[in-house]
Amino acid sequence: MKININNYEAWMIDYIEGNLSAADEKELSEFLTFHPELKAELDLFSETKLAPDTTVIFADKQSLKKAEGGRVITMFSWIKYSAAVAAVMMLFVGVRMYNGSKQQMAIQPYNYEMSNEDFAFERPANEVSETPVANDVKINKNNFFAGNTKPVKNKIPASTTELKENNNREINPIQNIEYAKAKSIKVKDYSNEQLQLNPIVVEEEIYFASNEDKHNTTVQNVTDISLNDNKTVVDWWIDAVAIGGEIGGVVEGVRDYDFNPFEKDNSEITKTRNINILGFSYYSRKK
Amino acid sequence: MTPKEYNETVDMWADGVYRFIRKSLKHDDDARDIVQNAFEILWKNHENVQFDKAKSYLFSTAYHNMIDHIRKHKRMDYVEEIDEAAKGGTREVQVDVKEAIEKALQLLPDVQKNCVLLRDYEGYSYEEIGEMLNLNESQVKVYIFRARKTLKEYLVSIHHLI
Repeated sequence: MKININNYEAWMIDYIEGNLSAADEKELSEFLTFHPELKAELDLFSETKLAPDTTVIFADKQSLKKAEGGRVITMFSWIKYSAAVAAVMMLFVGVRMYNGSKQQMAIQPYNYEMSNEDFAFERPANEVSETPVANDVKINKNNFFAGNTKPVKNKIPASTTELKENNNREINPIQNIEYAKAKSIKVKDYSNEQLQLNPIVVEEEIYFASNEDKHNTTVQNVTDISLNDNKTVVDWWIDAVAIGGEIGGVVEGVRDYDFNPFEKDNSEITKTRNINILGFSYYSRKK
Repeated sequence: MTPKEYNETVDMWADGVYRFIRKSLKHDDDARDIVQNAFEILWKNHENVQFDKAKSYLFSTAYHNMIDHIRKHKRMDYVEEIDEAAKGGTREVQVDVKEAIEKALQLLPDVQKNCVLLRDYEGYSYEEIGEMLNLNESQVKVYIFRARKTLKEYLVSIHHLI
């Protein structure tokens, strides 16, 4: 679009942003020769370009640094490491649930985990007890993770065919992901009914709402997260941070799922197509 | 990323990310905690983060930590400070343009302020800012446009006072 008296501000901003081509810059310059009174405005726009105060520094960078020792990280040790991190995170989740006031915040472990001791990360009995689990769960109290000297990798099934659910979907061992898009999550409500929830944004926070007539249902357990690849179902996510596709809302952990967004009648609700999930560990199945 | 590269990341970007968070949050100690926490997260994931992506990972993590922090504190601590900045700008005559801009910056909506800070302090492209703030490229451009227009209007009002 040609520059004119109605759009010159956008041109000026593009100029100081460095977005104009040489021809466009010439056009702006010619425009200003006809409107010299606007030159002062260009100067003011130039003043809006901020410069960092380089005297501000992060004192004691040394405190952020880590030892550069020569440990070689092999693929094998990485798997062990990630499993250990995940196990620690699960302990953390357990503690957090304990501190929380609502029982329903807990993530419920899945049947396949409960029915197969080898797959489960055992936890101390006092932490397991706050998690509402099925009656048939077996906990080896003498062998929980904190005191377990066996390699953690043994807790993960050696092959994916070792564990199958009723529907014969493959279960993948724990994986780490730095970034993923999710289009929906599945949860169970109090009546243990499975709901498919879609993300919406309320006042910069993401909540999940059902398309069905279930708006007054409080979410009890997150069960599945469908990733957008249509191949992966995440059964259990740990310490995730999720961000709405439309605005920068953040969901921390799982506690925000325990929420009924429709109680907030004064809130502006934005539907979001995607949630972007950063940095979490998960078990998954192939569809 | 190796531990050595992680430490290089500290040397190269700790100041920049601290300036960004500090300016956005207007609180020194909290900014320091947020930066420390972001580096801890980077360290925790350093084996999975490529060295050339470390900067944007760091800024993005720090930004999200900050959002979380603001949400937890419900801005109670900051409202007063921002109000004062607002009053200062209109009551007193700001001869120092740089100072005036600093005050005007705090009047911007957070998302606009963060876009401009990342753009001007760190020279990020619209696309890179979008990735960090979870916006699309054109949203970033619009926010920066609006921010500069507001800042300019503010400067105009200051000039009228002089």
